Amino acid sequence: MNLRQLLDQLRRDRRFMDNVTRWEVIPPREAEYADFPAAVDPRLVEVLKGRGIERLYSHQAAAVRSIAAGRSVVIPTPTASGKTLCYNLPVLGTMLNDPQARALYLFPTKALSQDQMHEVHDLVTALGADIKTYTFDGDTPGTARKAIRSSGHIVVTNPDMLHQGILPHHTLWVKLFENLRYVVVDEVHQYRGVFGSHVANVLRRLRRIANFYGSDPVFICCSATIANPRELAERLTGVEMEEVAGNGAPQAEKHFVFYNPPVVNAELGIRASVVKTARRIAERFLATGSQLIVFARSRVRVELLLTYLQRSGRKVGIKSGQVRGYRGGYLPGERRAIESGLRDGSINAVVSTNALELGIDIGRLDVCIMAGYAGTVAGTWQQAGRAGRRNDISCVVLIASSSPLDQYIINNPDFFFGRSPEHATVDPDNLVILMSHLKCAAFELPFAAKEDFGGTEVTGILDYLTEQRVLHRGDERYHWMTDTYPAEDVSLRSAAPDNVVIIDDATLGGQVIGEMDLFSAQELLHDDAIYLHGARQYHVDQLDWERREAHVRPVAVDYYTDAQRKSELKTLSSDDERPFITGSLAVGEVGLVAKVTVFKKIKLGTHETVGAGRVHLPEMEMHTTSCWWELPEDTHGRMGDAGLDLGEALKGLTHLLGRVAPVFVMADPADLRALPMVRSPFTGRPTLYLYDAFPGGVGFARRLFDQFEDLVDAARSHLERCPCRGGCPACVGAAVDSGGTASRGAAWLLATAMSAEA
Amino acid sequence: MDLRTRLARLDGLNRRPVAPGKPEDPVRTRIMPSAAELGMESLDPGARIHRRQTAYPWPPPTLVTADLVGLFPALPAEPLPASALLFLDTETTGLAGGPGTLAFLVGLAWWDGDRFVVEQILMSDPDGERSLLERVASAADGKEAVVTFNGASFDLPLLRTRGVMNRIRGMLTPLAGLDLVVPSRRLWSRTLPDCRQQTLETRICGLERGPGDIDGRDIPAAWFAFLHGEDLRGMAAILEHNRRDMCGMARLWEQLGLWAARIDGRKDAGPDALLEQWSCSWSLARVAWLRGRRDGVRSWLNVALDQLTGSAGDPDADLGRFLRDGVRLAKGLRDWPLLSRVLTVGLEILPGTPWLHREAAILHEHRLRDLDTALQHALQCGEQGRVGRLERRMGRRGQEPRPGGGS
Repeated sequence: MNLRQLLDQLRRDRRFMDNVTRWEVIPPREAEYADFPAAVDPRLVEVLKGRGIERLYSHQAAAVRSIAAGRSVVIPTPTASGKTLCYNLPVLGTMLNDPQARALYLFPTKALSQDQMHEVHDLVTALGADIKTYTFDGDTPGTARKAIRSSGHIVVTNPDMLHQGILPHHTLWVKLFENLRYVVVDEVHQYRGVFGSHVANVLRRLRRIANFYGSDPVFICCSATIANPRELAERLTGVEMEEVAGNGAPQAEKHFVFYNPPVVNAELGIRASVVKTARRIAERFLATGSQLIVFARSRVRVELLLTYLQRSGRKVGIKSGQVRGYRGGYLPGERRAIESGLRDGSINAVVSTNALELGIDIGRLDVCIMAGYAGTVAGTWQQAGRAGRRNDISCVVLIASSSPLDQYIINNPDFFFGRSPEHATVDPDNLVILMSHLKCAAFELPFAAKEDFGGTEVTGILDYLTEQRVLHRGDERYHWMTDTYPAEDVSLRSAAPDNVVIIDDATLGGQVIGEMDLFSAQELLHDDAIYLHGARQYHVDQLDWERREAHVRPVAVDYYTDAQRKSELKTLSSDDERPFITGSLAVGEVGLVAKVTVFKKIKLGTHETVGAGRVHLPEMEMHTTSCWWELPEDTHGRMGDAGLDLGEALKGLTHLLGRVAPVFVMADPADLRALPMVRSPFTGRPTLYLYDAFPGGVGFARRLFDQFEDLVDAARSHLERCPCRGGCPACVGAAVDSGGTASRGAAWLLATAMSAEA
Repeated sequence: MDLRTRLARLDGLNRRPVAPGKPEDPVRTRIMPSAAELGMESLDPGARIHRRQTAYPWPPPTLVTADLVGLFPALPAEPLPASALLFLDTETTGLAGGPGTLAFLVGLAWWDGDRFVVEQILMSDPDGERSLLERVASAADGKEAVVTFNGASFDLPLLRTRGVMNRIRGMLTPLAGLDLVVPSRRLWSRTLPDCRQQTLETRICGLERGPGDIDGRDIPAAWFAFLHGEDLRGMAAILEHNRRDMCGMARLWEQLGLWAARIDGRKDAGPDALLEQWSCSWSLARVAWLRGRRDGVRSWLNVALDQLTGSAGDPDADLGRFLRDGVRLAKGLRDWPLLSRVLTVGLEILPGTPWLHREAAILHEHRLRDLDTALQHALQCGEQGRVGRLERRMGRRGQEPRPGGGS
């Protein structure tokens, strides 16, 4: 049976189709070509023709033309559409004609930098040109660094290294900065939220240093498909961007199947295991001889699926060596071998974490199976892009886990297949982040008296830092004036200044199984809590608050714990307001004080309270940005008339919005929090707050304020489609937590919101 | 809420405390730090950099750089007299390095006829840095080499960075660099507890700093206090510390000449207490080798061995390293009696050491042609192959004696 026959069979298979929420057939698309623009150096054209590339895709040609005209561009294209040529052609062309010219390539991960190195290297070798390309990252040996600084034409690195290893030592990189013509920023959609806001500031520093040395580089950004690539790239780089629209790469017929495993525990909203489901489905595809990739969310799952599939492979005559794993932790040589095995067809299947999600070249496969949603629509399309031959049918299967986010996506396929709904959000002016990078920037180069920072006026902060004696104001400039090295204290990737690490004491040496922000940790990782991680129960033996460590061990108990958090939210200022149907919507600053005091042990199944305990943890305080929805004053009475409880309804609605909101702003569920108030002291009315879980906020709340209609719309459709009875963790929360009427109550509130005459 | 309050609240979230000190109103008229009270004259109209010059009657040593072969890894091609040297030492806002570290005080010194001149350039406003660097560059005019203590890895790269930041290319690069750390380690690191400049000043030059000397760790804070017009005493202490550093370097330079003469066996160099220690003689033997003085190597190695056998021979961790060095040097000289002595002394002090026996076996088998002794040593270190071969050779010799033997 071949792939097409299997797909036909699956479509006729009632049991399979019962779990399919959408079967989308994406029709084939012809390639759109364009001749090489005149700006492409003839030597490059010759090399490409030697490789069988006679023309460029239309989007490649458009990008090359804009870059050649000196404009910064953002290129939003899917996986495997040849985006690397968009930047390599102008960069190499410039260097062929000006041996002094330099370029900086930024990739979010080390693995990807390595891969890009190979690709550029191949082109340079074919050109026979003296263009030196080096990776500069944490693994670069000290002895090589000097050569890279002085003679590297193309320096491939990541934002963390730029932040800590290059910018603070810019005087050693004079050649690079004096001649910096291009900065390539790949995978810009990954730079969002807190991380993106940090990176935006690193790029402000980069431009500042480049300007000091007299250069003003062109920025070339590449992005997966998101709703606002141009806006994001402009916020990140501070440079006006031209968006190169369209994708000229061809695509054969592609089937995209949304598969939701059946419910096994309706109350807790638990569905059949993603791993087992993925295994069953993958086996069927493996038997057709198709080349396939399976994405799993963790290393453990990769190993598990790998074992299963090697076993099933043997039954259909596929050797173990033809089914491989691919994840962080594998040696580079091993990874290269797997990549080339996939390209030449000697490997049939690969099970991977998202290490392969990025643009690493493994050619294109027939089938992609995702064991769990990748977290964002953009990321999912990137993984899906792994399947798709130029002229043969391909198939993608997305299998949802029980997590609320997965359930939202799988039950709302229109959201996924429509115009990209995801807005990547960054806020380079978040005060915490901005101040951190102002310190780094002042260390790198004194600030002139009226100097701005990436267009943001910063005199107030510089004066504050002067007061604190971090800076010293001379006659003309602000100078760094402490005996410390600020970049060392600023990590681009940590969401909050510090997190609690979760340590499994039952493993040898205490393996770290996760991290959690301080606020959530109080609620979920207090002493004696039952913590759920990867569908396993863990008992928290000790939460060491001082050391930010939670010590857990796996257990099997018949209860779960529910901590009561007392949150006090004070509205400090309202920056913007607008009427919203029957109530109003606002965005502004809030102060949050939270404390977890007690918890209950609740028996699974019967929901009896079988125990309780006190929690002794310090009060938490945070200052952030929130968006809030203020409901009409009479809501309480009107709900009562309908036999509904406002408190339960608000709690349920909060849960629901809290699950749906992250998908619009590309936030991690932990980045956004929601809080209901039956009567807010600020508004005097029932109010629902959605706030950034990072001090100062990074723009999520602001974005939600602008998009609240879409959010409410999505929430309502999700609630309607949720197959549970009366509430589950994927919608308004488990019925037992939110009260029996939460689901109906939340639906009532949403319906009211959407009907103007209500 | 105003920006200040918000910043203060957010800043409080980062647990790291900000630099201590009382808040300062940045718009308030700045109090000019009073360099005049420190006995300094302003060098620029904006009074941002200041100078203090002190001259001492001190005739330059007659030594030229070429006398110090083997003490420095590289020397200028032409022999340089003391008058061609610029001594330099910076005081900085920290040791972190990178463009955020400033050199706020640069000490310069040189011999001018029979006087030793110390010039200190102090910056009272970081915006005056360019003038400071220009003054440093002009003091270097006509000099051929810059002498520092640890400057190769700290002061000189720092000044180069400062140059780049102020668009002055190649700060001091035409000058050869002579970092006193290198010869000091070569000569004294095996004998002294450490090779910090102050240790050397005391033990080698016989200078005492006294209790008033400022601790290097307190220097940044003292400068900040000076900048803010709060306290001059710290700054005065830094100036004094830096002045002593400059004089200390020049003294050390003089001493290098004396020690080079000692290595070469010149009697006029005089004695020194350190010379009584075998570890010191060992160091001199090594430097003699680097100087190409074979006689020096031989005599200092013998002195070290004498001192070692004369002493109680306490098992020192360095003994093994010394003996390996001794073996290497004696082999380098192809001086087999000396090698034999090294091994004999070694086996007296560290009896049964396998590698010493192995070396002795090789020496007796191949160089001294004493197969019996070679066999003794081979048995001691358990080298079966060598034992077998020696026994065969000795057996053959017993049956049919061959003139001259041979291997």
